[in-house]
Amino acid sequence: MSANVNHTSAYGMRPLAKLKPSSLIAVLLLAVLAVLPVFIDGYTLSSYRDILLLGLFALSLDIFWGRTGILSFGHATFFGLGAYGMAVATTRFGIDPYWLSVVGLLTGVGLAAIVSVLVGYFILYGGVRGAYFTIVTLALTLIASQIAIGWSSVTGGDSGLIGVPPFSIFGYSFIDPTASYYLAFTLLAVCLLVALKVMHGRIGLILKAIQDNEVKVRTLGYRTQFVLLATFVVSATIAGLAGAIYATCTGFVAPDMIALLLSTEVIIWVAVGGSGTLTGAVIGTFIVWQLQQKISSYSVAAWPIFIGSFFILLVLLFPRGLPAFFLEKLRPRGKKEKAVQ
Amino acid sequence: MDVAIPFLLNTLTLISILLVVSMGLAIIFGLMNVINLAHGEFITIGAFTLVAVQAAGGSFWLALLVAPVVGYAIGLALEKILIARVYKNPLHAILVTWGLSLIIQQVLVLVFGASPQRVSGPFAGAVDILGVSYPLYRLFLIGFALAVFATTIVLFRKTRFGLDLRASIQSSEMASVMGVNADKINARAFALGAALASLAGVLLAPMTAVTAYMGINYLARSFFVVLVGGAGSVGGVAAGGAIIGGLETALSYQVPTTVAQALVLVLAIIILRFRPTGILPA
Amino acid sequence: MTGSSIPALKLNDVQKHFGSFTAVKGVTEVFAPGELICVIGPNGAGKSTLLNMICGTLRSSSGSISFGDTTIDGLAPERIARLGIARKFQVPSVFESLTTFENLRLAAPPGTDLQALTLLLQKVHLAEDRDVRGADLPHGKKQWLEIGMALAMKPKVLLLDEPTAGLSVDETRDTARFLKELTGQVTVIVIEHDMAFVRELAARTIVMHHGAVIASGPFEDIESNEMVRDVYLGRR
Repeated sequence: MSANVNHTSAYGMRPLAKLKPSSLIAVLLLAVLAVLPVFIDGYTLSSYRDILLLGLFALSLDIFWGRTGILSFGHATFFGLGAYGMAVATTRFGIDPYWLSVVGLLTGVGLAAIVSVLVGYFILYGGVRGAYFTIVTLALTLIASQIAIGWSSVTGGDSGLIGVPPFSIFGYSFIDPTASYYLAFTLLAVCLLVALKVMHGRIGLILKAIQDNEVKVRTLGYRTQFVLLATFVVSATIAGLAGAIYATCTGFVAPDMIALLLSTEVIIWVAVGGSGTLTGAVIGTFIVWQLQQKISSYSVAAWPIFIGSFFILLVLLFPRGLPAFFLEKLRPRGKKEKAVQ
Repeated sequence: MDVAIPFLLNTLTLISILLVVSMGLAIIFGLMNVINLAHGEFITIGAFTLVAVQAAGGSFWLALLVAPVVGYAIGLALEKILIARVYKNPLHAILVTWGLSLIIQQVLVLVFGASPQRVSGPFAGAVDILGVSYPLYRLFLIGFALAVFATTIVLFRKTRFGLDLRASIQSSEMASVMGVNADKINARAFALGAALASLAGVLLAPMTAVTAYMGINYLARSFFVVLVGGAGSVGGVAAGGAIIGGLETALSYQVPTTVAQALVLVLAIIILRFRPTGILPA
Repeated sequence: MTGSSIPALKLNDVQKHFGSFTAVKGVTEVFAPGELICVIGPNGAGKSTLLNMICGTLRSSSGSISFGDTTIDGLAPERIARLGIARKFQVPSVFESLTTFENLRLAAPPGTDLQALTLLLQKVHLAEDRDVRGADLPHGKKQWLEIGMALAMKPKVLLLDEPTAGLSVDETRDTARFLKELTGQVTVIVIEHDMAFVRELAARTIVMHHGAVIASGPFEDIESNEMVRDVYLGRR
């Protein structure tokens, strides 16, 4: 047995590296999404485009939460900063239309990144983890949404801002629904594939180990706080990216893009898809979004009550998320040895 | 003097409310390490009890008695049904209690409607303090809240329940070896926290807009009080309350309240960076 | 022999107090590059505390620890680890959710050849358990994985705290053998209780008691030292 098990080639790589299930599913998912515009158009296509961007948002949360196990209740802050940054930059300063979207993008993404660096630095380097981290991020979103509503001269207050132009770059404007769909799709595809590659590699390993035993990882020489901070900032930046593009697609921003409810919803999207799988985050968004629309159409109260009940049931019945629950059953176990005490 | 006295009294008002609200949270957090995101909703429940009592013709004082009982009962029930299952897993506690808070908010909206509710305080009018006029109700609130806070301290120090509670906060294993029933202590502690929050809700109601969403603001602040001050100790709650309450009041004189709260958040994060377990942990 | 590239580890009057209790009372030692040293002594003698101070988990109360030209007392553990001082803990603390191979991969410097890792896996007799999760390994194999992880860091100094706890007689002998193979390449400091293992190592032995070094020299001398025997028999 031991003679054959380490069959390595000249580069030290195992010749038939097993593709993880989530990578296969990701490729399949992206393939389906790539050809979708052939079958649908108009309003439905725009809805799917929006879902893609929200899926990107969910992906950003999973990048952090899924690997570190630390729950951020404040990701809507970053999505919202992206959206508001884009909106304010493109509607209030009369910038040359050629550069308008790029400036807006940099503003939105930049805001999300900066806030995440500041907040993340103080919390993570202070050793704050777990539940404390969640509470601080919750407070962050609470305050951010209050500022969005209160600072009406800049943010448009309760009604938000309208007139956000479609995204344009090098003179080309993504007005056409199909064009904006593919813009969203490309962003999602790139981020998803890169995230999968990175998380299946060394960084994913480090993050998984940190979740297991952070102190030990430090004794191995890794600057764990920096790794966590970097992951947090990347996650926040992608959320900001999703928000910024979202604003250009919908044409407006409103306080519900930076609200606690959105922070809560994105957690559900990721949880349903199975936190940690990355692809699951996107799938979860699709599943829950349809449900969300149906339920909200009954009454305004129905959706929050549904969320509340869902959380409670999820925790009591499926602690690992639904698809992850099944993936667990399918995963081949390593040879189990009888523990010697 | 003209400015100093109202400032001082306003600060005390916020601090004393925070003390009562945060005390319950500190017990729950310090003892059971449970993040109760529905804690704000107990405040709301207290305020709505006042609404209900007064709508039925009862007085403010009656509500002041009834609300903590209502809070205690609901807290006890919730602990048995839900909270007891999530002790081992903070993430689950967060999701479950957040879900609970969403449900409670919407139920209140469905029953009472979304617009602010009518309540009336026990006394109107102002009192003259060293030449400055200050609302009588606020003075009452400060005194009453501080009295409640002091009473809970006595409860901790002098009663068997308090002793069991403190022992369990130190080490639940040691406490159970000494005969403390962990389940009972947890249930009672949670219910006590809920009762205190409901009491705070009644006190708050005459001063603020009573809506189904009023609790969330106090949730964030009281968590900061506990985190910055230190969970599981009376001194921690006092220190945290003084800092958070004092700072926010002081800042809100210069900048809009939302900005003041943002600054307090920033400060709290900075403090946590250097003192992750709080200023005076148990 | 790469002994010349390993700096000497020097302890100068290192002490550790916990309040009024003195755990380590002024230890002065020089560990030559590539040397194999055994530290023995009754429980509570301060051996683990000493190791903790060298690798940075504990800060010394006074005295200095230097590694070549660098003063290392007071540095953060990960800084010390990056300088080349690897530590294996008394209780195995491998990453439970990672596989054996992943554990090694994490411990090894980035860009380590996967082939080298596989060889290391074989060296610590875990080749068959490559894809077994840390949580599913029995105690003895966890010990070996820990040693493997320490070795994967290509350390200059290896600190081992009771590496043979829970191992069988054969496994203990194997461990002694590959530790001796490391002489000259790595400075190895081993805390141990198993006298058969210590005898097998046949290395310079330091005896600690009540926080102080009471004897130091080749194992045969220590073995026949009256005072050491008294300490172990509890007469002192």
